[in-house]
Amino acid sequence: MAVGNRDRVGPRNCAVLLVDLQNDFCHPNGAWKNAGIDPDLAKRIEAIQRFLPEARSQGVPVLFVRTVYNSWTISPSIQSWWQKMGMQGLCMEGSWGADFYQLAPQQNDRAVTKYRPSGFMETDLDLTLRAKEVETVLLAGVGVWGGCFDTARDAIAKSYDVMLVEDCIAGGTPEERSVLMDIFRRYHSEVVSSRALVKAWKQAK
Amino acid sequence: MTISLKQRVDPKQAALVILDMQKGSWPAKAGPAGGEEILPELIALIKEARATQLPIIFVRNTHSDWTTTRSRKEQTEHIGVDYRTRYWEGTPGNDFLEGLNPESQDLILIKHSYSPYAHGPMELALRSRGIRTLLLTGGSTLGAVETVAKDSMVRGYNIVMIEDCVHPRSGPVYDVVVDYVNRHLGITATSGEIIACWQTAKR
Repeated sequence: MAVGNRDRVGPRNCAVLLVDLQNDFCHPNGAWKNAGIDPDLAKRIEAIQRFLPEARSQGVPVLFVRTVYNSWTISPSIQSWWQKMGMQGLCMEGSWGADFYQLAPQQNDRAVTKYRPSGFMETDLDLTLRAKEVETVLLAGVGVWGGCFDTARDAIAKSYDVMLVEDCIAGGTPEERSVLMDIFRRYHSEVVSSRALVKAWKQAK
Repeated sequence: MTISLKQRVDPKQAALVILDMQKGSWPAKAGPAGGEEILPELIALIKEARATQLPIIFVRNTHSDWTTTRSRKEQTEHIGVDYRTRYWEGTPGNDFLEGLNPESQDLILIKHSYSPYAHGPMELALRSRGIRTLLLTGGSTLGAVETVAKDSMVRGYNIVMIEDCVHPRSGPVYDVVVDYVNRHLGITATSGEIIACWQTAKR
């Protein structure tokens, strides 16, 4: 996985972004009404649980990018969207719904708070990645239509090399996910498996 | 079309912004005339702002290894200071100065450089709340305050810099900034003039 002389997935070049892994998006009792439509959610979470220790052991920065809404960031248009989706609120600051689902940042991980689907919109994610001199962003987490995909596209627009870690992305129906992965693979960048990444890291050693 | 001070500070469309008023922001060598000098006027203004239900935004400058770029480290090295600032994330210097007590309805916005627009939901919050005018306080006058005045003006917001609630609030640098703000970015007024507008509106 090299571009020119650059090792695209070299541990010093990349970071894992784990998007929206929160109760409201994943738990059956969460606010997101479509939380239960991914039959593979548990499998994806297990894949993430296997992948993160491998990334950490390689020194790859792990960033938990979470959604938080509060009374300052809820606009009339957001309220209309929630109404359409049959929700009273989503990932409200300090609520159980905003808490991480099954996984939590470890000591050397970083939590980044976002306020809209994209992790880059009015957040310090870009600065954090630049401070860590990250060139390749490995996307995992929840939300094929929202969090993961919007963050991936904004990362491309900001000139990062972006890879979707397919087996570590949950959310949506299998058909939706397949369509989006296909679109991403054809028009945007690359879709990879966590196994291929771990293999590349181990071979590089 | 001239917009009056009273219209600008109308609590229905304005917000009070308090910049970088943290324990570590003001070096000991600044002596007793550090940022604490403006606290009496600022605290009185906050009290009146709360009474008029004006939205309040506390901006906190925070640095950490996660957000310090190589260029920032090079710049601090160039001027011979430690890049680990006195208001480093998780240290007491990052706390707000005594007497400034954000409440649950206030917005606490973290920034990592001069402008809160760069790394946090500043504009998202202003738009979501329908805020059009920013009343700027805190410090430093030429650093964060002037930067936010300019960054806000170019985004279409009205600016009122509060003359006695910025630090420094006298001297050549202050004079230049006041002149610049009044000519190019907005207006300046004293906290007393603003409080008088709110009190007149209440009657």
